[in-house]
Amino acid sequence: MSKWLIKGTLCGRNAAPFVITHPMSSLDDDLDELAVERLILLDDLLKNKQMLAEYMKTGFFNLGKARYSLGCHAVSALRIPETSIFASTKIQSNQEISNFGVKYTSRKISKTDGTKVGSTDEHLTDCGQRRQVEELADMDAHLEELEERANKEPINWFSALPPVCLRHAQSQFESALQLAAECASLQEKLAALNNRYSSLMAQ
Amino acid sequence: MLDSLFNIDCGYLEGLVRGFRNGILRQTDYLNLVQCETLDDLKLHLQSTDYGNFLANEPSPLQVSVIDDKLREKLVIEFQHLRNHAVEPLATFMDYITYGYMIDNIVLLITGALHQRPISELMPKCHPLGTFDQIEAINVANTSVELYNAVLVDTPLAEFFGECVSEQDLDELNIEIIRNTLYKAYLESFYNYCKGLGGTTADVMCPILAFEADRRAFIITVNSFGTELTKEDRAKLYPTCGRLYPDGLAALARADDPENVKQVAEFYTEYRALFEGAGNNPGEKTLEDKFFEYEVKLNVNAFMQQFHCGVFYSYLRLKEQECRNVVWIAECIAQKHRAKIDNYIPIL
Repeated sequence: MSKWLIKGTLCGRNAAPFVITHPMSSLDDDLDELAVERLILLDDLLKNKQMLAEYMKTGFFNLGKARYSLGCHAVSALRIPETSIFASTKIQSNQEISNFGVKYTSRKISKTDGTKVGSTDEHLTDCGQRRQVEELADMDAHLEELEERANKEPINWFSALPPVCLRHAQSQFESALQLAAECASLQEKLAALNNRYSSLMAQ
Repeated sequence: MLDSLFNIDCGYLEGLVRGFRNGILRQTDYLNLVQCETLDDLKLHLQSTDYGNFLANEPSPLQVSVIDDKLREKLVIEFQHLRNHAVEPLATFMDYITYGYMIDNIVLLITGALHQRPISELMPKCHPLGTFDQIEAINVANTSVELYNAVLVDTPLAEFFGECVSEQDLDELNIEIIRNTLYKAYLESFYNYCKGLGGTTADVMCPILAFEADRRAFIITVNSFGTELTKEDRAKLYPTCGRLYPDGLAALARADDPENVKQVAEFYTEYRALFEGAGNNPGEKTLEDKFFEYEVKLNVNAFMQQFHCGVFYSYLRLKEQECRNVVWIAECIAQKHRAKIDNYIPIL
């Protein structure tokens, strides 16, 4: 907090310096620092968005290269399972407070454990129904096993021996996912700082 | 003497395929194609080639997959016309060519069934040259034993299925093993058939098929790093009709990383040249591109000799490379990623 410092001597005697603090100076400083922080955040956001676009572009290009060597139908939507597929990553949202006491939501990508919740029925008494349920349970277990295998390595949907370009495409899309979460966090933070700035300007 | 006898049954067809070969896109055609801004421009420029108005009835906006399908359709019509007029031994030779596509179709349908895709969605995606009776029954098979007993036993692929039979469930890895095992048996059988024909056909086809076998061995090895495929299983997938057999294949079976694979290639002059300068960095050609280039060279050279069946195989492979080139250019245009648009393989 900058202050107006006035030093002076009174009547030739040494006098301790005294400070006069103007009430508007702290507000100006806050506004200045907020403005600088917004510019830094904006710069980071633009860079991240640029990198995100670059990763996506290169990822799709590598998919095209994979289609060149494996064939158009080998790398297409036809290879994606129709059965329920579950996400291998999830977004974690956390409330955070920035340097200026501003609250915003940050987002991070984390891996899921890949487990599905099944349903069990323990109250059947009829043998036929129980046998039917057991058969259904076997089928469900088999389906779950197939789904778990399918979701273990999604790249295997296209080829169990994936070419290098397909692996590169996968890693680029993974990086793009991380950047997307980062961009979302930065945007939230920037929006919160903008609101704070507007409220300070109104004072 | 044998050369003149060839003309009695196959002279007309050889003349026909040489005429088709002259319609393969040249460098000037590719220079026009790479300057296109949109897929409609590409369609316009292809009208002035042998392809003509093959995309005339396709609605805008065009898609790359549609272009790929229509390119293949034209090639299939030409091949089927040649096959319909062929007599022995050319008829069996051309049938051998179709077995490779049958294997690809089988794998496509099994994989689709594994992913619960309806058969009606999968059938249009099958390669027309690889269709056979009962092909739609493939999706009922859960193991390779069922696949063999229900469908393949009555097809020409039955003789190639010997080592694939097992009670294991069909998952992605097993399906890939079945594909490569079938292809290994098919390639070795085709090689022996061409060798049996002898003469110029054997002189032309045996090196081409030997290279195909070696290429598969290299690609399987490189792609298997970081997967669940064990070294022992990998070694069983290598075709044995190439130059790498037996020492090169044994060395490849022991390889742990791409550097080991490159060391194996050092012992073979042609393959050493292919591995030099190959890489995934910007400005470098990939190993697969180098293999495609070498394959094009072998297939172009097949037309230097007359009175043999190899020209039919080589024409098909060259047209497939042409399709890949056009699709590559179309992808670069569609994605507006023109930096690598010149990475096609020139043919003539």
